[in-house]
Amino acid sequence: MKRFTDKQLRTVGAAYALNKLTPVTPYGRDAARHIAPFLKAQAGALAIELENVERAAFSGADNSAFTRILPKFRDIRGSVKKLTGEEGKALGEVELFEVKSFLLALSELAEAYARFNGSAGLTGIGIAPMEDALLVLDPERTRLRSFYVNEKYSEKLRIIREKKLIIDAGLNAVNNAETLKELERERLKIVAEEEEEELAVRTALTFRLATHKMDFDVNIDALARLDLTLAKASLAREYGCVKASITENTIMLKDVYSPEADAALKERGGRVTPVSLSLAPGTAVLTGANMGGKSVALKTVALNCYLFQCGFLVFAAEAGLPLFDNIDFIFDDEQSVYSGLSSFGAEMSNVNALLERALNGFSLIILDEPARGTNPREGRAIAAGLAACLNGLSSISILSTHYDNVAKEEYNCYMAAGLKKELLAALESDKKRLSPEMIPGLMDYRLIKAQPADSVPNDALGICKLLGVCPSLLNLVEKFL
Amino acid sequence: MQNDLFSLCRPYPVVSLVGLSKSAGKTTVLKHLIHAYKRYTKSNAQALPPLAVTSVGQGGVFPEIRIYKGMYAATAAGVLRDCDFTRRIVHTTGISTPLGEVIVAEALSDGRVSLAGPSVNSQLGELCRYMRAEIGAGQILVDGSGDRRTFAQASGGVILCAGAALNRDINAVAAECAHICRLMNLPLEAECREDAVIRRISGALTDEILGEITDCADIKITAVIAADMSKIFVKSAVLDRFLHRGGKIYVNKPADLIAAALNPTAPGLGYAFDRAEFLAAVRDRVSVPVFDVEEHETVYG
Repeated sequence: MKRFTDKQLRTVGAAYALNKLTPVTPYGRDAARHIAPFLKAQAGALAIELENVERAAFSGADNSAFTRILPKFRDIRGSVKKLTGEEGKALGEVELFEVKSFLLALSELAEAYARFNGSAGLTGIGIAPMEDALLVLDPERTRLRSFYVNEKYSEKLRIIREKKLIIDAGLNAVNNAETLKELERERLKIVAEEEEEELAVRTALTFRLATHKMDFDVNIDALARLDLTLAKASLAREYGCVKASITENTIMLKDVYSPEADAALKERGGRVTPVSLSLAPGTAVLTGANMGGKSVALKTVALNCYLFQCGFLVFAAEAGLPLFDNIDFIFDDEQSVYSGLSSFGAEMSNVNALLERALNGFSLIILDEPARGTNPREGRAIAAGLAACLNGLSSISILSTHYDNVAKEEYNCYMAAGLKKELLAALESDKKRLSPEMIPGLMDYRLIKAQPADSVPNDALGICKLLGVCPSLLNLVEKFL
Repeated sequence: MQNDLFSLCRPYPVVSLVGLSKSAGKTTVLKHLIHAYKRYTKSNAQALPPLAVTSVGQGGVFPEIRIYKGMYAATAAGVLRDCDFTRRIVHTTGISTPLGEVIVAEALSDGRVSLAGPSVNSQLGELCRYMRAEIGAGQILVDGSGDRRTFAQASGGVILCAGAALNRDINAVAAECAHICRLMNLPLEAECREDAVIRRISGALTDEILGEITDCADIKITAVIAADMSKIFVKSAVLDRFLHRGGKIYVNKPADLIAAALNPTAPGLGYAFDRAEFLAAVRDRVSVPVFDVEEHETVYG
């Protein structure tokens, strides 16, 4: 499966969730930027990833050491790339310092990770200390983070530096201008010699480090995975996510929600209503009132299916999810008018493309009110036809609609519960002023299993009243019903 | 320059040198303080904690100085390569400059260093905290820019450097010194009278703004509060007019002026002030000790 585009990520609220990931190292941050769904053929790897995230999040293993150690890692990939083993390549002193810092941090991390993993039991991520490489840069085994081109590496360098110190002492003591000049000249010479010998030493060190290049690469890779796994785990802990079991071809989501929708509602003092649903290959039809949460529910399904396949725990109380070859969705708000097509035209050509993909793989297809942008007679026919067509595929499809008679016995039918009519009636009989702010309180956002017959609720007029649509208009509307 | 400047600076963990113009003598003062530190450590059995040097906001021209074994320098990787002291890299700061990341190095021998520290002041604080806490630097000398914005944010003592290059007129230079010193000695907000009519300035206090406040007929504002003196850009005359009308200016954050250092020569401009006359003119007008930067020119380096 392909990665979602940035726009797709935003549409379903995945961008919000991904932004909540806070890896610490440059390697982990890079890995987070490149998060992509596992392919269907990689179910085994996904299972390991999910297991790792769950264990890191909920095994209770003490991960406090990582908070201290991980920030010590800086990006040394540029320097590692130079470790080709070719003659004449030398890392600079600052690079060698960074490499040494990396190796010291790696030793610490390996130890902390081993302790952590004793109880967490992550698999497939191995951090191996590189003591031999460290010894190259820390010949005296001081384990100090600082680095300098040590005289221990070269007797010649030691002699040069000794001379330099003597000259410096002379410069500080002598007052005679002639002698000073002479010393300056000598010092220039000795500084040049020192530089030359330091270069020779750095070249030799670089050559010796090059024999460990593979270990650098492997460890950097493992470090990126560990950092990302820990970040996913901390997200899962924060939201109380669960690990979905991997199913063959069905979706089971219990009390699933979107953290972005929840955050938006929290700002207004509410909470998101989690929804539950079970889907199998074929068509599911979702009906319900306007503003009743249909689109949010559909996006929530797409979001969690996508994140699951990217190795995240899901925002639900319980879940069983399959791996898809495609997750395709069309929401009214993410359609753009492009290549001269109207929104209807764009929608239909997208439908065409996703049908083709579904013929060649296992898709999750989500259509939010398909064919809403054309005349109701044909629109209804298109929606009904689509439902029938998708029901014949082995993919899982959900479409939401306001059209009557799209839902059929053979489909899986859901309804957004909609307006709490008794509450609305009570308010009306009390002559309470109605206002749009009352909608969340009067709306039941749960999804309920429905029969095709009762599947299209008539809540539009109730919503109009709440929105404060002028009564004389409403009177006229009722005449036409 | 007497050793007193060194003694005056000793209580300050960070000492920033700021200049009113080019050739104000900042680098000379820096060299003097480094040398005084070295002489002090030599003649006193009790070792001082190490001295560290850096610069801020230099924008292309970097002072070149000589540091001594045991000192620390924070400078950009790009110029570190050309420095000729034997060094140990102790920290990469993550502060980037056009010449590369700022690196902290310990001098294992004497030698020349070009100081290309952080480009902006806001990064200096972090760097100084690091050098104080992790290296145990006893004092950090900062070669500041000529930019007034460096003045108060320097989080430590400030040595104001003024040179003949600022203006041919000795009195004009002395007046500017006095004006800056006055701005650095503004009272703190806490000292503001309770019945004062206050105007708080969040950004820069300019001549225009203060002029408007002074001339405002509707309300008589008696107190203006600015963040610190680095945000105050008013000319002496404009400030005087406000003060004469009973106004006062307060700051949130104090600036600690240690001393003023004067350079009576104007290299490249073909004139110089009379040393004694210049010293006297400034001493007459400011309340801090005033030094002549050239009195110690014999320092090696």
